[in-house]
Amino acid sequence: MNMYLNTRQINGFKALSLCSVGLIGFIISLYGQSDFLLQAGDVWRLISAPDNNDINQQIIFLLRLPRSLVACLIGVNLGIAGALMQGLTRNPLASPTLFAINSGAACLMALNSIGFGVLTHIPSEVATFAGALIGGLLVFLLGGGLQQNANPLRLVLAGIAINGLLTSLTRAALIIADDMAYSMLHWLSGSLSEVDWQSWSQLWPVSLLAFVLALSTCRGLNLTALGEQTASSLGINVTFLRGRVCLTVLLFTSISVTLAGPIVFVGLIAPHLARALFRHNYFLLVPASGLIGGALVCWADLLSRSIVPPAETPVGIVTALIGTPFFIYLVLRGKS
Amino acid sequence: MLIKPIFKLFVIIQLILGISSVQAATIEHDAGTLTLTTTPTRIVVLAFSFVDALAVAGVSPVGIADDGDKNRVIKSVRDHIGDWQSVGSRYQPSIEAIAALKPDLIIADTGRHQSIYSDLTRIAPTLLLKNRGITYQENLVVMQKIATAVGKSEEVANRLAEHKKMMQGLKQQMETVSTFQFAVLTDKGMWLHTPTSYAGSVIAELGLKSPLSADNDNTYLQTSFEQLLKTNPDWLLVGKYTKNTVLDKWQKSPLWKMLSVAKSKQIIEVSPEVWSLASGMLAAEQIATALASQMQR
Repeated sequence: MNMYLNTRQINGFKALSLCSVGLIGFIISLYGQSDFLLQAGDVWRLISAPDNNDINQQIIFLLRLPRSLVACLIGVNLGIAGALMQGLTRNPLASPTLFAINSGAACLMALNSIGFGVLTHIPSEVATFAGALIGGLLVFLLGGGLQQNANPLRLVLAGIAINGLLTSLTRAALIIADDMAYSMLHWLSGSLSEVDWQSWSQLWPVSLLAFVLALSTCRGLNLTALGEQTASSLGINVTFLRGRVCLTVLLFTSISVTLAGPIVFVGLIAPHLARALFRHNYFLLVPASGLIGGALVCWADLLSRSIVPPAETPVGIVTALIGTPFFIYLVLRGKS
Repeated sequence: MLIKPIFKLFVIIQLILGISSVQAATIEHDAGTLTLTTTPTRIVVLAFSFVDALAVAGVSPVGIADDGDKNRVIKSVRDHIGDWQSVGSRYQPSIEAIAALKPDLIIADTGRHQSIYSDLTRIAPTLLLKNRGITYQENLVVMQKIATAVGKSEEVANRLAEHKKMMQGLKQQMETVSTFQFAVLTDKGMWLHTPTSYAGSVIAELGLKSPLSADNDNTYLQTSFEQLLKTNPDWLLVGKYTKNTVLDKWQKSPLWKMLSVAKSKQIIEVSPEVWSLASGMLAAEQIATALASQMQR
């Protein structure tokens, strides 16, 4: 028998391990850390013998299952968005945060909460989603997204500027409405505590669309890694590609931030781990980043519930706690 | 010719005599001891519970950090005081607006205004007292300190005795088997106010039970639907800060009927200004009366 596995088998093995890590987190999060003392058996009974009058089963089905599903899918979204961002800017420290999507969402959500002008009359989800889109589009346009041969650095700079502007507006809103600040701060740290089946039904169609778009950009991104000019000469319309990538990132991140608030660092970590495992082919990198992101948020959400029960620590804080050391490690490695 | 200066002198002498006849008040507060030689008349307050204390003393403040919205001062307090100037938000009051009012006493909140305390003392003598996260009992002490500062200790002591009698009377009417929980709601979530919060401590003062376990040291506890199902209070009093809240969503869930309050209809909407923002003695009376009237329903 052949002792050595070929690349395809190795990759398959890696993907399988990732899937199982994510799946274990998913199953534990269905019953873990509950005041109702839910058990793995309750999950099993929900599948084998569903009973509408069993409160444990109902809690798992109506509260836990949508939350875990949304957590995973948001992780997938952010992971892929991160991989695309890093590919687009060719900057390993880029992440969806750069696009001012989070700060745009936060800004309009905060203004909506304090009852600012016309924003009072629209539901907060709509305002948040609009904010995310506006923030992202502003950065894209200012960053020369529509120009040919735009320097990726310009996008980074535009991102920093718009982020700064929107963040200061959000802070102003928080100071004006002191009593609302409490509930807004919780949202601003990224929290999955309010997601339900309705969130799931809003999340998956957008995510699916974005995922198809993401796959369609893989070939272009693979070639762009060789340099934009090389890519052009190989028949890639770089401006069109950039637009598509930006739109994809925008869709992925906007829908995620609308439902759960800004969950930071997932978009930075996941693609790096994916790259370490699967090298640079975007056809592998995109799904892998998604898998890792999904597993990461799933576990982070589980952790967020177990730090100081019964209170929930916002999941964004947990991912930031994991992400910060990782970020420093990336910077240090880059130096040496 | 000499009449004018002599009249002036007369007035000055009278003022001095008048002042010296007032006893100096010494108040222990969170930044040391403050001695007031005159009874302050132009008072600026930077938190709502202090407005409540002044209303009890029958003194009107000239300025309040009311977040620019006069309705945030609850009606039962507003009825006892005259009009005032807003000095901005409680979180970040305008130093300039405070100075423009030429106050002779400022009452600031230890939780929010520690960092601007030295700026405030340059404008006027400043009392630093607890407001943020205050409990019912703590507030009664703070209220008496404010009464001393404005030279109304006797009046306030009498009123306090009346208040205690009232609370005692209401306590008799309460049933002590059921559990009571106050919660603040927004479209972002639900926060349970535990017995260490103001409303929670008033509920405890009335001898009512809390559905939360005692080892809980949070003042405000953010609560998911799952935790609410577990907490499952017999009475749920909700103060809504936004028109749409998470409760609307939860009520549609099949799990809603598992809650005791869903069956008993003992879920009551109350004013978050009275139950959470005000945190004064008059507010406590309103909370207690509201609870008593629910019992008699």
